Amino acid sequence: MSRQTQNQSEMNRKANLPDSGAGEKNTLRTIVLRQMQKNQTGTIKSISATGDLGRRIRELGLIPGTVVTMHGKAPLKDPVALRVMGGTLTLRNNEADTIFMEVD
Amino acid sequence: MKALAVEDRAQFFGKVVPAARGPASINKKQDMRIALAGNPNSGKTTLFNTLTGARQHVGNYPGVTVEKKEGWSRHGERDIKIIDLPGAYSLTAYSQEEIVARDYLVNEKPRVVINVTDASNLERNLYLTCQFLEMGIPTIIALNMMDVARQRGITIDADKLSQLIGVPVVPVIARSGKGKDALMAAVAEAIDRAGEVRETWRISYGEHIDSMLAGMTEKIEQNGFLNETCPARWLALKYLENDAQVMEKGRRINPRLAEELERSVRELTGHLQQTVGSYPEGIIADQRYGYIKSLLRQGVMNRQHDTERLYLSDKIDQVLTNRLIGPLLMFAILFGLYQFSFTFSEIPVSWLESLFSWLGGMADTLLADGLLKSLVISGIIDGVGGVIGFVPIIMFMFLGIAVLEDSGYLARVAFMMDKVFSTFGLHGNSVMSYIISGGIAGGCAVPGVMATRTLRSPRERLATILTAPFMNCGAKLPVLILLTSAFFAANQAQFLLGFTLLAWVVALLVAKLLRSTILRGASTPFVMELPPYRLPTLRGLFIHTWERTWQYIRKAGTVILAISILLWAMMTFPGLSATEKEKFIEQRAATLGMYAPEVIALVAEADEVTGPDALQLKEELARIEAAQAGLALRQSFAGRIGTALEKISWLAGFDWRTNIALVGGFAAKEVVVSTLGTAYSLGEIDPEETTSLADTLAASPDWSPLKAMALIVFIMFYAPCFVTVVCIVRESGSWKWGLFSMAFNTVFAFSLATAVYQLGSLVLARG
Repeated sequence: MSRQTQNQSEMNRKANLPDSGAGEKNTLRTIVLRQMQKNQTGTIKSISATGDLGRRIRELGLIPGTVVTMHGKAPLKDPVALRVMGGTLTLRNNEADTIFMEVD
Repeated sequence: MKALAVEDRAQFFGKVVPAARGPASINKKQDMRIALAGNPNSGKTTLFNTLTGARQHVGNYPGVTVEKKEGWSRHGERDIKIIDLPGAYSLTAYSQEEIVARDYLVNEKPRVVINVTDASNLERNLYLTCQFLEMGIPTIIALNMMDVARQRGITIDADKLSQLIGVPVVPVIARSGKGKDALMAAVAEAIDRAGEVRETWRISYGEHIDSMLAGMTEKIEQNGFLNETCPARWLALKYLENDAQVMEKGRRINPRLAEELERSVRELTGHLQQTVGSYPEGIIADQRYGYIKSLLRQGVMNRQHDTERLYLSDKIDQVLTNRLIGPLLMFAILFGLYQFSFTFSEIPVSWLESLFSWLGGMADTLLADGLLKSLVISGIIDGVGGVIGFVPIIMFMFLGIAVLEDSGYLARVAFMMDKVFSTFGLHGNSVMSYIISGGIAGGCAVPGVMATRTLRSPRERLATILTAPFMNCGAKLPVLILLTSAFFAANQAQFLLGFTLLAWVVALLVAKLLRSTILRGASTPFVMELPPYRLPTLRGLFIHTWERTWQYIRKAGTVILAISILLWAMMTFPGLSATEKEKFIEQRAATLGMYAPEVIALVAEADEVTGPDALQLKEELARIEAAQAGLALRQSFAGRIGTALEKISWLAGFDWRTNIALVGGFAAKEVVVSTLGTAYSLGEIDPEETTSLADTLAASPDWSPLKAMALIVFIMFYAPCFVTVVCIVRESGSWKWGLFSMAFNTVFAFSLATAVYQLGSLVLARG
């Protein structure tokens, strides 16, 4: 991934994390996809990736509202594998950082 | 050299083909073309094999390395031609495969598309379906893997789906062929009706986008802009989706209108970002999935089980991609594949070797001594034999890869290795190519380079293609073994292991270098699917293996034969002058004069001679012969090149003999051994049996362990053998990269060898 996207996701994480999701059900938190634990399930809240990556992520069904379960991580902790709509998708960590999840 | 031009974005709309959908021409064979399209892993290829049987043909799309598969299927009176389009998740120009699939649909206008969908993952599969429908192509949905879906507790009402989406839906099981006749009947009916005017199929993208789309569609229609090949609304959608390929084409055709359309898109983008904080392409994807979800909810799909249930495939994954056991198992599996290929190919390889040596023997007895004989034996039979000799290895390798690929394991290997490879600018999928090329010493770069087809992005693929030949292939091994046994005999095993590690380090570092210079560019996202584990079908495996092997064999007959003859000519001509020949004839006569006539007769007639006199005579004659061959080689063009190169090659410690051997090594690396043998006038040297040569080198005052080390480093990294170069050209689609790998690798290897030799000399001089 380009440095730009990485920075962007870095920024998003800082900007969005502390307060977003606070207004909804009190148990819901927003985290980036990378931070999900194995077998944890959540719903996609927003995606900050644009361009080719953003389009590809969406084309594969990762859109706001989709339910995603963390399937596991590669032995070197990157990339991650997700269960989405009955299939398994993989994403590198810096790509996963562009996806914001709502979890319990 | 400029960064890889994205030639793979091929020629969109390159050819304007008049729409051939009129019902009048139904009996013409060329109008019976239908396309098979679908997501990767949807069972598309299995269905293609089921529908066409062995009646298929594989080629390449012009300019790209994506395979083009065509087959025929008979339905009643008709012979229907089926084109198996590469797997695609979407028709936005993302990967080479998707561009090829889209170009085909736009330019070639198949009469019908069979959209293969995985019933157990229908939601995502229908995303592509929506795009076919938006393109206005007559579509039939083949609902594949209904059995898998049922096992997972998913039931799908095909009639309901057909009714809601407005196209025929036929349940099939591609593996067993169930539903195949119903599918072809639906195809036949759709072909007959393909000429009918249908209502445009559309999804609503919400108020903002819909009104913008309407405006843009009108402009496109008024200007007749690009829309002779595809619907205006589809083009407008592509503009909103920010499709680089379509927009670039638009700018060339009608700059004014293109600018106008792009301005509209920019305005809408700005507006949407302010109001809903999203981009048009994001909203379009969201709306398509929204449409699909609502469709499935209207009684099309029913789930009985809990979605979180672990399926067998997930359980396997828990073991095979486990943090600790996963990598170990991966190593064991890859090593097993390797052992399998090389062990099982040994027998057929030895058959082929005997066949070619028998052919050589036949030519030896049938043809008179002279140039023709030498050409036939050394140029043609040895050259082609060397190439065909690879065939069993390639076949078994590809069989192994096909098993890994079709079962779904290859995707896991890429998943586990991606972190390492992406650090060096490569991709998880590069690992296969490295290993096959000799990452475990003894592979072959030819199938290694061909194995890069599993890589999706052009830059990472090219970087892999260019660095895989650095691995220690089976042909470099005899050379390495020869030199280590002559100079490092005490620690031979450690040295050989060290050279394997060195190959990995250098390949990865050079890959990084290429990816930060001439192949610079962002890495391809690793957004990919881990397909469920599946048992490969035998037919699929055989077809897969055979296709790739055949492509290789075809190449052997043409380019490779020509280069082989060229190399032969370089090492043969101009030959010895008359006076020099005369000298050898005199020497021979003098030798013969010292022996009794019956001894001479014995040596001339029998292959196996006994008796001390006869043996001695035979030996002396062989010595003269070898001396003559050695002189002839030195005076050949290759020899002259070798001598001329001494001016530079002394830097790395190579003399003319080594230089000739290295020139010969371009034909195949093991030739280095036999050429060195000839250059040292040892006569015929069998690469497997090199003791005499090793002794000669070890005893020679011209050689030292340091020189040997510099030579080993050079041999490991210099120009790949020409078979590999031909494959690089083929796989990269351009001679440029073949020439680049020859020039770059040679310069690189020479710099390394020089550094080893010069620094080593300095250290030794001080020590």
